[in-house]
Amino acid sequence: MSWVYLATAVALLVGMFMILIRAIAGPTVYDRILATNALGTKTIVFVTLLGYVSGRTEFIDMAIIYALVSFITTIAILKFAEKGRLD
Amino acid sequence: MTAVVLIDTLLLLLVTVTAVAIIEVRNLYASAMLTSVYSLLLALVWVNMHAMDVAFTEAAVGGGISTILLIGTLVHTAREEKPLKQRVHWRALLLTALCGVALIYGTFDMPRFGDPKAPIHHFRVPEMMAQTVGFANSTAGKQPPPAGFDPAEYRSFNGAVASVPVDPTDTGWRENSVLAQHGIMLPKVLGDEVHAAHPAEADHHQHPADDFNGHVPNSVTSLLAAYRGYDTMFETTVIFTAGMSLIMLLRRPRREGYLQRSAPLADQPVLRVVAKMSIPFILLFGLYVITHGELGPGGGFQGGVVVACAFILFALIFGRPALYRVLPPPVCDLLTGLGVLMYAGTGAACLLLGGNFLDYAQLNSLSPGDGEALGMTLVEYGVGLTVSMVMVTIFNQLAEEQAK
Repeated sequence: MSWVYLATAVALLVGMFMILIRAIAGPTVYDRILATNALGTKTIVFVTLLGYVSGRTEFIDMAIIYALVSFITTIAILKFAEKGRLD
Repeated sequence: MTAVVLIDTLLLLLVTVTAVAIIEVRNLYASAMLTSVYSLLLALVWVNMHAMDVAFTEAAVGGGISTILLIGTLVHTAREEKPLKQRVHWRALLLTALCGVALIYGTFDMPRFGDPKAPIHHFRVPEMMAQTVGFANSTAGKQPPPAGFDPAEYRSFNGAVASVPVDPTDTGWRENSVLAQHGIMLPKVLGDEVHAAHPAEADHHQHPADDFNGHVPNSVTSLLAAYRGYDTMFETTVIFTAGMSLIMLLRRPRREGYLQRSAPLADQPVLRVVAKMSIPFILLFGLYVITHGELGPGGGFQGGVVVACAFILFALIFGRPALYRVLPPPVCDLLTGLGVLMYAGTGAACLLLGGNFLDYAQLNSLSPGDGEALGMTLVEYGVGLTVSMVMVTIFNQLAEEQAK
């Protein structure tokens, strides 16, 4: 792994750490929802980066799963916040 | 410090912080969200180790379904955790600490991460990876034998030389099969001639090292569906039982009706359009993950969860009545059982064709390797069907209002 990719990965991880602080501390529910969603996005970028570095195409499948799952989870969380129920 | 170790350290730090936060946060709603974050981060650790199948499962099950289900339980409970009277239970803490120390002591015997001298790289696995079945008459989709490949060398693995049981007077009738014992003779199939012409393929079942079924490119699927196929079958049964238990515990009697109240997101045109557009692709992706399981990462469990995600998204946005029109609960229950039946039925089919239970090579006597790929695909579809329908059932039962 060249130092450029390593620096990118570390930068992403530091960013994730900062978002995580907001997800844990976040005074309101909406801070936490935003932070969770942003963490999902960072994760997708991170997986794609790792896949590019190691030259394996299966990592793209992984990134798609992340995108899908975090989208549906966010909708479920928001629906519970708004309606107080899931169906 | 290598790059992998550096990234691993940072990721594990994030995972630990999240884990502590999940326990410490009093707000259960926030706790459920942090569980999703925890699973996503843990899946990244697996990705970094290139354990793609585990990462797939962690992301799909931990990050997606289980978070939605945790929120589903919040519908029935309070949002805030009640403070405990006794803050620290010293005896429990001591016991936990002792268990932790014992586990850490146990890891001292393990080889270092990525150690080339680790037993797994020398014992058993190399022979398994060097499986020779299907090399004799290479056709499309099969791998050619590697350079310097000598079948005789593998046949004498472990000192036990396997005899080549090709009988020139073989009529092709399978006298040893269960059907034959009851007077039903299977017709002569072309495959037996191929076996006679290619002893290397015929003695597939006598191959001393051939218990790994290495013809499937993704060795993880091969391990799960064939090498320890019984285990996976009963895992599927466990999921089936979980679904059934939840139905018995939570489902209202039919005379009261399945539906009490529903709150579809009728006033959200953007979400409705996006959901309508994306659900077909989610279903397609789920089927791809199930079908592609023997070639790349994925399989029945992960794909089933993705398919369930599509149904859950539909229920979230259009309400549960709409989901019940698409997938009525009786159909859902039926499909749950059908998945387990498909798995066990594939095993029984192998039994009737003269092999052992779940010996997929029997499914295609022309080419045992392709038979195994077919068997694994069938089994993966069974798993996928059960998993997806059980997840939808669990979601439905949790979302349903309780009888007062």
